[in-house]
Amino acid sequence: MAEENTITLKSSDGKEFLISKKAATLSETIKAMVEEDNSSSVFPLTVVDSKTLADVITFLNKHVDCGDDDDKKKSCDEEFMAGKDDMKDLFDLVVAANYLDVKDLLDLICGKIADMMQGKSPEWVRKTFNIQNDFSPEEEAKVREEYAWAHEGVEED
Amino acid sequence: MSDTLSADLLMEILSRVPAESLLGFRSVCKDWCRMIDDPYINIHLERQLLKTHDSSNGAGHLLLVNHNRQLCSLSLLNLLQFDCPLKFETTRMMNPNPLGGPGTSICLCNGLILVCCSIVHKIWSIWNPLTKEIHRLPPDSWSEIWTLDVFKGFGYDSGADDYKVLKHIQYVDPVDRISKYVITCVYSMKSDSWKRIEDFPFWIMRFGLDRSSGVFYNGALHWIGKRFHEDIQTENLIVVAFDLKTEDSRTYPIPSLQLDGLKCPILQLDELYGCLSLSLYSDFKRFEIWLMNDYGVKNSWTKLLTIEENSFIRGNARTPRTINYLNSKGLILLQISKTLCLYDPGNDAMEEFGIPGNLKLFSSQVFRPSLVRIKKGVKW
Repeated sequence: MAEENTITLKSSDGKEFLISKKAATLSETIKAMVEEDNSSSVFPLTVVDSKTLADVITFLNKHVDCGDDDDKKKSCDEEFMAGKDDMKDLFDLVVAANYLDVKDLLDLICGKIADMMQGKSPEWVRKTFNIQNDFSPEEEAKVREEYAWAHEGVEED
Repeated sequence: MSDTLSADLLMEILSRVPAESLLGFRSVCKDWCRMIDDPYINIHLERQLLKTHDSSNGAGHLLLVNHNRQLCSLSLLNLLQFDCPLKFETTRMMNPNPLGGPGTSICLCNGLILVCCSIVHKIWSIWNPLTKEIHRLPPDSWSEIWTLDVFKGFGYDSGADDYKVLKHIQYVDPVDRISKYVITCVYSMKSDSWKRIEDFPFWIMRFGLDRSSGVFYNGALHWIGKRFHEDIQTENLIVVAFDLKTEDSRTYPIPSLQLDGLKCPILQLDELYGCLSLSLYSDFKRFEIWLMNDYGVKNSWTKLLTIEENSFIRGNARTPRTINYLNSKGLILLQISKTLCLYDPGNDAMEEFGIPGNLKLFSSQVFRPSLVRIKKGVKW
């Protein structure tokens, strides 16, 4: 019986994770995979690496335990997010949450990234998001000029 | 890194960033500038508005004016972390400030403010303090002579994606000085013009000086009033709603208030905890807050709390105003005269914050900056 209720998720770097079907199908993507092919027990996720997948699985397991209890979910989420402030990890998680279609996780990580962006400078954003500044110095000065007050009191870096 | 973030995903993230920060991110690159400037604004607005219903995160600001009549803002977050000394930080929204305070009805909606810029010349403007765009409303052609009272309301018509101002003028007949009549007109920001609509068959009640602006909630403006021909008695009081989309009016009953012989009840509407709320202040000693839990459902009024015989409330000539419900802590933020108070219903305790002498509360509504553009506007 136990085996029927669990499936194995395989990360892009080939590591396997055992997870209950109930927790795994909180992901709409996995749910669709399982429904389409209920004879398989191993599902490869080619775009999620093992470090990120481990995090996602922790989240799914926590949420399945919480059921419909929103207060419990909230405290679980706080626990889950504790110490997660590396932008690279957060980007990996948000991409995985989006691919796996786990709405609660997507909301949580997007909110965290947005919080971290609050009050930061455009330079910080470019560096963090690896964005090339395609404004000429004159254009950039003009854009900044338009809403100059928005640049007062922002943290540099 | 961002090569892995799709445009949709980036939008998901940016729609959660407060408007003030977003405005600064226009200079990140051309793509971001386009995204922040245009179609994206409404998604951002919707998401930010959702957040106001959950004030536990301390989202939003209180607006204050300093002695130079500049607008300052106080983040509600400061009040939530009230163990630390309260800091009144002025933000980047500083502007030469239009008139505020008692007697001028200030209406807030989606980060825009309807303000009176001259009482004498009756100049009204719609203003976004963040983008600093301001648009002066054209004059309307209805006389305010023989006016008993003028009520204004400001809100958003989501159907037409338009901002509207409602003006309801209550007159007394110049000849017999007894008969009363009303004129109702609506201004649309899109058409930048006023039009007269079918007159509101209601008499709106004013309780106190600074409470003439309608409460915008769920697409409609709300006041306490009575049917035109009925007497002014507590039993006849109703909630009068004007739907900005259909431009129709409707009414809802007020909760059944147990007045126990108390006289002179003062009623006020507000938006609290994502609901339309009604507060009652009677005989300078009892203060009650009611919530309409299911909007429009007659019997869904429930009493949130009663404060009685509390030294802050008792004998205060000015009606307490409900500002916000900080639900993560179960605390209610009240304005009592010139003071801000946090009330803890659990142990009937009131914590007071004096506002520094050079600052005055500009509006008792919570302000959330937005990037809503006033296209016709000029920058201040």
